[in-house]
Amino acid sequence: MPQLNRLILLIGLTTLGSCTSSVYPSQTGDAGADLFQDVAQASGIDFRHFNGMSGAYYFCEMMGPGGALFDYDNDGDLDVYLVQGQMLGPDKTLDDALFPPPQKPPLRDRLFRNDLNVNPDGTANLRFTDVTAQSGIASLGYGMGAAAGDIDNDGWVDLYVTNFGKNRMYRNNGNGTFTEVSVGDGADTEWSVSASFMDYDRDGWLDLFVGNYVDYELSNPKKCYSSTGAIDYCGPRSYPAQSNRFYRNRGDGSFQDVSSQTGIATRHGGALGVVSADFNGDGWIDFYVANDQRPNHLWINQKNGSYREEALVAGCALNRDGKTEASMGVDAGDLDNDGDEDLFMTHLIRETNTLYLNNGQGWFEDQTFESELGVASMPYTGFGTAFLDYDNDGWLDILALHGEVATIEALEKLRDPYPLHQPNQLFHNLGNGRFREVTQQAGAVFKLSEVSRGGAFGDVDNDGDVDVLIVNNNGPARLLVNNVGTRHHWLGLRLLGRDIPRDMLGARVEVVFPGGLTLLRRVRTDGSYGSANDPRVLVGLGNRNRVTTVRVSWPGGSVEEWVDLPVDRYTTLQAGSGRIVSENE
Amino acid sequence: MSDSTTLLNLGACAADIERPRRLLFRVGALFLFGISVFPSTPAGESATVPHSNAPLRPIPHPDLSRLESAAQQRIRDTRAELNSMAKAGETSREALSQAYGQMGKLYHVQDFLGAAEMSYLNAQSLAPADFRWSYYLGHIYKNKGDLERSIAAYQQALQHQPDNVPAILGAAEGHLSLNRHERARPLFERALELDETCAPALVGMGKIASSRRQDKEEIRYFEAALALQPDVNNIHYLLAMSYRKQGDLDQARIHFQQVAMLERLRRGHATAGYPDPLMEALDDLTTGWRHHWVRGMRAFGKGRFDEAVKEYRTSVALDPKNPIPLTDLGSALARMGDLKGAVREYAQALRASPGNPMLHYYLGTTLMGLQSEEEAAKHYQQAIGANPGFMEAHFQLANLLMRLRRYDDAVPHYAAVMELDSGFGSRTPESSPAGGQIQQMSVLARFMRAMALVQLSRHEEALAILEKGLQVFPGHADMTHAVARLLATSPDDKIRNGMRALQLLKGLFEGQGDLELEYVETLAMAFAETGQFERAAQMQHAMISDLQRNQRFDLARLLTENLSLYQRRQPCRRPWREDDPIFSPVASAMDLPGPSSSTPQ
Repeated sequence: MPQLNRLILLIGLTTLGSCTSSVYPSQTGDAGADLFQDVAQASGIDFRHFNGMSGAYYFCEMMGPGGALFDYDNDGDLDVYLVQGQMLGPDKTLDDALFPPPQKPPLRDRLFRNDLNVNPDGTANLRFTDVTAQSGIASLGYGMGAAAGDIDNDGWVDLYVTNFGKNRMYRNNGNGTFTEVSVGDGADTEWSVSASFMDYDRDGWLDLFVGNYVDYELSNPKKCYSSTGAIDYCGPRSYPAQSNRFYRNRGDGSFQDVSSQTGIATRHGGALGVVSADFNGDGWIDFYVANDQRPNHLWINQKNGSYREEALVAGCALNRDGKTEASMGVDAGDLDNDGDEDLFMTHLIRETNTLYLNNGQGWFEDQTFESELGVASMPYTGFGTAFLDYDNDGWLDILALHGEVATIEALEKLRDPYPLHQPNQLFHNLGNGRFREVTQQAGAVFKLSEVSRGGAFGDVDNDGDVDVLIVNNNGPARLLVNNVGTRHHWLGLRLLGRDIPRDMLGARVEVVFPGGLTLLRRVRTDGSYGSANDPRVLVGLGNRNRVTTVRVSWPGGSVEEWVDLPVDRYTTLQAGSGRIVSENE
Repeated sequence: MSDSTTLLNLGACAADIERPRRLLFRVGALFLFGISVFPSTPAGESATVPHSNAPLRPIPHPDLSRLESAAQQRIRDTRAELNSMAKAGETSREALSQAYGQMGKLYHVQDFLGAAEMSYLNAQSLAPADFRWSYYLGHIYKNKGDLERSIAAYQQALQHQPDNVPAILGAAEGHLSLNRHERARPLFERALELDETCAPALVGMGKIASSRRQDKEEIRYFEAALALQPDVNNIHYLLAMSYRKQGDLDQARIHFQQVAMLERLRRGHATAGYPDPLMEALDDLTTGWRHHWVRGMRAFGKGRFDEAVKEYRTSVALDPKNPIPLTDLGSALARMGDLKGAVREYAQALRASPGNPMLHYYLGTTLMGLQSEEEAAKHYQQAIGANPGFMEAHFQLANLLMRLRRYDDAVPHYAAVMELDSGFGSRTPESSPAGGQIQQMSVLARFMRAMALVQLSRHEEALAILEKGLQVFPGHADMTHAVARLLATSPDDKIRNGMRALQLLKGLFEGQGDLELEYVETLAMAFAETGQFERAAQMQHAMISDLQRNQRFDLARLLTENLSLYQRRQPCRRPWREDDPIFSPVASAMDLPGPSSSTPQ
């Protein structure tokens, strides 16, 4: 199909991470080096989170923050958005803060523009510039997280910021600035952490699912104690869970609250993580909601504008022992390369992180212990997480970001000022249903012990492997550049709509190799914890240097194929430019 | 400070005193050279243990400041006693082992796992044959997520008591978590040999069978465990998943429903249990009102209200003027049906915390159960007076005023609920039936406000409120029905619209099997309003016959009035009878107070 290849290349030249970028070896990409290296400070991301704690054990102070990797200026590289906290408590001032603020007030979220520069020798210099002031974003709430998606189909990605308090939508003006716009009736003042953009009704416009946590107010805090009677943070069961909000895009970038009509409002779980994907393989976008200490929810799209919650029977509401867990971060992906979306979520210390394998019809089985992910995670409390193929071997690995929510005895006895910190963990997928922890080999940054919360994942230096933005509570943001992914071949894809110049979130990508082996990936920005990810699809090919076919199932229902796409570079696939396999249902 | 403490304890037995780092390094250096420090350790609190050949480990000093004073004191006293025993050269190894073990248990129960571990290790070192210290270490390592050491500790314990079932289970479950089924299996089998009613062992065997895809075996084990412990959520879940795997969805659903119910009500036990006297003994070591209060809450959460009452009473006895345990004692008594006892405790709590709106609310709710409605209303009003934004108090007071037929007074309180719920329907009682109709308080308040206005003959206002509700919650059955009935029967000509009532009812009936009697009654009313008197009479007659067949002569009698209207070709002009139960919302078990606060995650 030579004519198809020509078309693809034509499109690819004009878009994000195009094939002109080829392979950009990172400035830190030495063979034999650490798997990841933190370049946040060196590249200009001088962000430190302020949690506003004063010793009052406010619940929300140790739950944020998250951040976003998104290309707000359409220059082909991922920019960084980081949410900030504020002083908490009535009548409290910054003088009451246990940890001083990192900068003079006002404290606000910050936007860093990626000024990635590719040198003539192919190496890349990563440099970020703080453009918060000129962006027009004045987010002064108590930030929890961020979600990214193009709500008005103008080709410029917009930003939704979740807060402890009113959430904010910032519409991208396409000139480096944003304008705040309202969402729904503007009543979204619940405590939200994670949100997801997707097109649930196949009308070509991105809708918005907002996960809400619990009904907690600073003005009326409960006093809580640990099981031994010591004063401690309250848990989510101390407060009524709030229902999530679901907004339908009216087709003009404005939103209508359809939480009730869709059925979403009938369940209250205390959501922290949200991920959208087609879990039952029917071609329609479903949701999985990770709830803290309450059963998780699996919302199955009924294809008529409504959803039905089916997690219990689907086997992913509770763990293998029928227990609720403190689910925080979540991700979906095809971990075992069998063509369906599996689930992984992070949990509290003494619980395990949990892996649910999908049987292809949307029924899950807890395979935590079989995969050897269970015992290793028991000493930690996890938040941000993702399936990421960090070494591009074709198997999705797992990164779990940690940080406790209750005092760690060993740190307390050392008079640690913030005794919640823990190291993060990286697990390598062995390709046989099992994982091996590779934290010790992952680099110096994995020897740090911090209170990590959000994690955003994407190819920040456009070199063809996944980098990681880690957002720490009461600590610095870290940008982990991947040093090893490019040792294998890869395929980078950006998927745009036919007449809509935006990333087609929810599109399923099947990558077929000679011999028939097929990998499933999808376009998304959601998942993890309060964070927005790179919408591009990065597929590790291992030692294979050829892909036979790329088959894309678009969110609208049609399926197209491309053949013999170039590897080790990004290519843009526009709906309508491939061979039609099937039309919309 | 903490560094020096850590170093000080290196090679010593029970030091509480900080001392110069210089000295510590000297001690450490001796230890490094392989010289036992015990015979020559200088005097002071870090006394030597002449009886031991093995070095004892330093015991960390956890920060006790967040514990309540009674618990702090107990730990300090025990540690001081340990120090003095260690100093006394003639203390026997057994006695010192006991002292370390006691210290470990106190730290263990307060969740200071590091300090507990070191204490137990010392106890074990001094009395290696004592089963208990290895056993407790097994639990400590399990809690720390170190399953290899946990298993090793249980195995060590089993060397001294080979038939101890809890230790066998500890080791077996550790192996199971590490995917070592071949090592877990004989241990579970041994547990079952020793006690065939050991449910956790049956569960373990079932899990192993499941991993081997031995489907029938798996179900047999789980069913056997369930027969022994029928209210264990974990077993129901395992069975549900097993039946689902086998394609027996009916059986799976039965168990999933049990899981959902137990989870929703937070009743029953999470996992299969086995008597464990050593672990149970730990609980008896703790003290302080907060500890018993927390235990009470745990029992309350599991629906074991008698146990909760016992714990709360102990808590109150330790701190009689503390409103927190008093309040929860009242709530637990209320759940047990002792409403008078509950009122007594709430009143006592109110004396300790005057004007507390929550206590007034609890008193109001409990007095409702005692039919003391006027008294209850006073307390609700006091709750609102103290906290005008107390939505639940507004709601309960409004319901009560409805029952007292004070409709005029009820209306503003329902309005307050609607105003206060800024999220419009986002708040739902935790215990609302999952998957049922939306029952948000503000939705109910909207509905009841309309009903109050109906009683006040303000039909137009009532209709407007309901119509607005339907815009936000399209298809809400009760609101749709109420609108239809007003449209069909209101004496107010301006709002009556029989055809629209019929349309609404048609939409309401679509897809429904059994229909609510009152919905059918409304349909007859709408037929009559549109002049279809024969159909109205026919329908009314059919309902009456059906009720009579079911011996519901009382209801049948009520329906005859409208039947005669329709037979006379007259429409109904009274939307509801004045004594219709819809105007008297009743308090349900859901309204009974729960614990006033809860434990953290």
